[in-house]
Amino acid sequence: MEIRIVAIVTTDDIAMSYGTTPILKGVSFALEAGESLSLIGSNGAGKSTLIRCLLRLEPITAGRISLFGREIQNLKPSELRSTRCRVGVVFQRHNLVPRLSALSNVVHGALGRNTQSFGSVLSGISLWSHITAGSAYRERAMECLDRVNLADLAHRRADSLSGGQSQRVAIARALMQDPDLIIADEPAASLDPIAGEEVMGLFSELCREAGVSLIFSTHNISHAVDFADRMMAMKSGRISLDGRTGSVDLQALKAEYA
Amino acid sequence: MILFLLTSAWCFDGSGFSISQLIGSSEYLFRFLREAFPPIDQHRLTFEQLNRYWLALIETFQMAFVGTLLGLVIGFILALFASRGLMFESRRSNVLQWLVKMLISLFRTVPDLVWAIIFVMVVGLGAFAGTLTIMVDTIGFCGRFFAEEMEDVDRSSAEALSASGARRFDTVFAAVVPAATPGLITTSLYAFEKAIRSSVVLGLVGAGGIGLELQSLMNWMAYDRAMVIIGMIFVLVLVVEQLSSYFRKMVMKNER
Repeated sequence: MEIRIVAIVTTDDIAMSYGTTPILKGVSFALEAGESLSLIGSNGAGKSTLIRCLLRLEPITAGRISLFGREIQNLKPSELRSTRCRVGVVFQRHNLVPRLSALSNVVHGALGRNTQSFGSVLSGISLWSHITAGSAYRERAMECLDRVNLADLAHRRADSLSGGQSQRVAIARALMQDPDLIIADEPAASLDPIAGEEVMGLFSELCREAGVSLIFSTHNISHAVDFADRMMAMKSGRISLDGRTGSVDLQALKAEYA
Repeated sequence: MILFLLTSAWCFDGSGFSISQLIGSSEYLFRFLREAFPPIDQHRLTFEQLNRYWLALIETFQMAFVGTLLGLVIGFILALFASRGLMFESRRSNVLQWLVKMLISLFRTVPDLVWAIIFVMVVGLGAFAGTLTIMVDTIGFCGRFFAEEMEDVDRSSAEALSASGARRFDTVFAAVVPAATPGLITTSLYAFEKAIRSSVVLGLVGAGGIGLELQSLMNWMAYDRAMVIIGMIFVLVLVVEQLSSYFRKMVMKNER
């Protein structure tokens, strides 16, 4: 019997420039469902720009990007939202709403899923805060916080949490989306080594448990190797290496990219 | 520096400011003070009159409160559209943003007394004209500062929600507005203080409130009773300012 492997992310020869400065030059890769991919490269190599382009937060100047079989550059706003809601995003600086509780921030993860049903404007309004959210959403948000071991800090304001705790809230928010893919841009960069290790371990474990695909960028070669099935290295806007993490020479990689 | 000095000299000349005239007129000031103090001297103040002043003072407060409340709501809605890249992001929305900003500027730059004269002409003498004046003045004040507060908010949390498929409307109210809330509250409190002060003056052009009583007493040269009203206004403004300052401190304490 033939088993068909489905690519959930495909980029085909994409290019992107800021003004006249090219940032991405002909990047092509595909990510299969359930696969985890780490992106490494020095500052300015194009990792963050690639991630932003995958989400159409930045426009590409050439090539094609496909998420879950849909070419994202041609999608209407409503179609883009329904595609984006399948992707949990974790940024380097967690990007939580500082004045709201951890629980409210996690409830926000349901906002994207919620826009897909007809007449969802009112229920969208209810998701602006955990106080107005329905009990089903609150319970689900508490479960997500529990999965990142932060249930006891659910009602603390996001700006009173440590960097590691904030990043875990951001992961819980991504889990609240019930995503098929999580994309994380240097999720451990603003954390101390121990918190960074914990956050990356949590990421990889949760993705493996739920069968969620993962793309993350990092400067830490050990994280790239330990927490992903496959790694890609970028240099000056191009992919310079693409292979299984089990087969890479760690010392050579550190010498080249660390 | 030279330009500043020349401008100052030119403006002083045009403003008619004169120390000698001020000293020469001190006789009139002392006459006013002699007749104003003690309050309720020549013109015996009856309970009915005091009750009328009290009701006018309450009306002044009500005008300021309702005008501010309506102004805050409309000012906030306009600010959402005047704030750069908040509700929409397209060339057409830039035109809308510019139009809304112009409307807010119009409300803000025309002085409240001019609005009051216009509204007295439109809806007649009384508190309604004053309430409309305060509403328009508050829209101009809050529309501008609310828009600036929301423009200054770090948009990274809104971008995170947008990247996860949330509607723009939801990202604004779930991320931008909560982050801007302390600024919105302090601006609203300032707007109310401002409204209380201007609602007193609006009566002078017939737009309701205690200013109307003050004007008629001044016209009748009943300075002692006018001083009672000035005292009542002083207490009202002081109480509102103290309460406003207390609430502002409470808001800022939570942000530390």
